[in-house]
Amino acid sequence: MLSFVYTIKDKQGVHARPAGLLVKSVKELDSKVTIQKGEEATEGTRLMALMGMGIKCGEEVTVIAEGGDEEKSLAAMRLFFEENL
Amino acid sequence: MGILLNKLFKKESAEALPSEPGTVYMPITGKVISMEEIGDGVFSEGILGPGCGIEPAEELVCAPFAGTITQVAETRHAIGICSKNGMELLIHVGMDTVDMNGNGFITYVKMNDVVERGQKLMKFSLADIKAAGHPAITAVILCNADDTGNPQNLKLGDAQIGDVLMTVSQQ
Repeated sequence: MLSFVYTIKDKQGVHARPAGLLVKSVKELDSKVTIQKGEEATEGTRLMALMGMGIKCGEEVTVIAEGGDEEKSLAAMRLFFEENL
Repeated sequence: MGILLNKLFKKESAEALPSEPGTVYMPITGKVISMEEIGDGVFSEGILGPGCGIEPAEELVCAPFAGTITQVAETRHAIGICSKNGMELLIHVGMDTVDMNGNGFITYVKMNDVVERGQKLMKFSLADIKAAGHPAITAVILCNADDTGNPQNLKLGDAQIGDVLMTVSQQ
């Protein structure tokens, strides 16, 4: 299991558009990806659950990759967050 | 007062419409268009999921089926609802309306509210959306088509709140 912590920089937070793109990129990976905010966590493939977490600008999330090529998955996630959120 | 409340409650109960499992009813009166016609990359390409667009003729959003509210955007322009048998539907009013920061949108529900089909969820201002320079085209998206299968029997063209919009086979 590998993870990183990221602080959301997009001023609108994780709204529909970036959440949809996030789900799409998670589905392309061979690891299970979990997005965690505080005590709440959801699989990175669950669009509605992700939006429902209401992740705002300035909040910290932990991105966890489990199984498959974890290093590659985590690198892809890190790039996604830096480019989109 | 008690009588008045009782009356109001009874009225609401009487208005609850039957919600057939796997049926999505029109949430907004307007013209139903295909995903492609939405003309916005992320939505049209189905990145958020399959569904359709609605060009709103009116400014009210009602529950497309009986279910539980799973998302109310802080900026009030998008609402998610999950049916008892697991359809997760996102109703996203206008394109890029997130940047209106809630101006022009009023929501009547909050996260985890249980709603009846046809219950009022949101009101929006077409004039405000236009003034902000955004299309009012509303995306109606099935977010978990991986679980449910793609929506079927989509009815394009003019329709009113409560008409059948599409069906989702329950697997």
